[in-house]
Amino acid sequence: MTITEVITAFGAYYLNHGQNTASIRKKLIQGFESHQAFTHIVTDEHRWRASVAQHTRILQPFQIQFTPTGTSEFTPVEIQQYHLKADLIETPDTIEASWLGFLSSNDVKRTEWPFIRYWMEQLVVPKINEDLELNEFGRGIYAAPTPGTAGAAGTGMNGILKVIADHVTAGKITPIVLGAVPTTPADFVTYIESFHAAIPLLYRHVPMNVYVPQDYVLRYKRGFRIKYGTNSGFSENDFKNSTVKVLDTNLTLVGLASLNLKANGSANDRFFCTPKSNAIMLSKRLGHKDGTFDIQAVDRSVKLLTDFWIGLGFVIPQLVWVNDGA
Amino acid sequence: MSKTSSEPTIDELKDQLAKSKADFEKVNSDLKEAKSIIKDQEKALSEAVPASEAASVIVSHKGKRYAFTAPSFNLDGAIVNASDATKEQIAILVERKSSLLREIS
Repeated sequence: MTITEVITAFGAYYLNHGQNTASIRKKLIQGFESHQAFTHIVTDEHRWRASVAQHTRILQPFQIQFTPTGTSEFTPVEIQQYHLKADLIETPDTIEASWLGFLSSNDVKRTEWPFIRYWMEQLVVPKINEDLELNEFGRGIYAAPTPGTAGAAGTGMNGILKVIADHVTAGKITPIVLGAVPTTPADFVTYIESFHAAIPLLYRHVPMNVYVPQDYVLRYKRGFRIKYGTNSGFSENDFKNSTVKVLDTNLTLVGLASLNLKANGSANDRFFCTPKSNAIMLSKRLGHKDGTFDIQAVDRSVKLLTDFWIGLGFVIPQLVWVNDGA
Repeated sequence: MSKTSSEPTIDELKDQLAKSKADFEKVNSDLKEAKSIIKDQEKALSEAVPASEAASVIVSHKGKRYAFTAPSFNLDGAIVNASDATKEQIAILVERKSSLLREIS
């Protein structure tokens, strides 16, 4: 851990001025929110399997002869879980002779020091959630790590964009041709309206969220007022919230931090929409409660280890509608 | 000024000049041939389809070549196979700057 500046400013000794954990402030940390777009299934299975059934046309005009028509079709569905982990080590003695000394203890067992609980609950868990949201769940592309070397950010799992891109390449998701996403707010409203109009009639009125990069929600709100010159039809909450209902539709724009960037770090311009029941998130041992951490004392250091499985996918990719962003 | 034994004669100089000219012409000819080969290779390269795009549908519009990045697309509610895309539909994709078409050289 790095406390050099604290030592420089407050000295290499502990004085009790009443400081406590409330004296340690933090910037906002992005939470793991994108899971809300998915139906969560907790499972030990590393690959979740199901089948989609459908039938071709059956009805025909009557005649005496037996003239069979129509057949059933079953197709396989598989969603993969990925194994992610956190390996950490800190030496709590570092803080004992410092302003942060209140996080130390007279207990010689370093794993029991208040620092460990603070470290785990206030720093490690939020950071894991942030990493999951910003690096893995949206724009992650799995790459097997080099043995003995920590893998790079964004290589722990195939995220939403990769899963969609693979289905597009395989012809299972058909992108809606809308062109480049307009930066002009009023044009963006028209763009979203065109997206809605391209959804097949059977699903056009099904309540669905359109998951977009977060900036798009504000762009829609501003664009709507510019295009129609009114707030009519919007609720007060539509303007306050980070989501907004698309007028005359059952769609709601929902901004996801995980969709803000592509894997290469450039701005993402692909969004998607599907019934929530069709979007599946699998997990095993995900939750970060105390029980999911292995706390080990090594000499005077403390190791913190955790690992979990997570994966996402779509049961029927044909029911995922995306724009033609790349 | 008198001629010393180490200085070449005019005839010798003429011979050297002729030899140099012949060498120059030979090099110039080789260069032309090399340029011609490079030009042919560049042409072949520009016409070649990258392996990643080999399976894609390749189309042309206004002298430019494009590879489809998806086997099908939804154009104003109608599902169109990339291989069946009409010139008009391709023009719409280009006009809308759709990422479904990637320009290839």
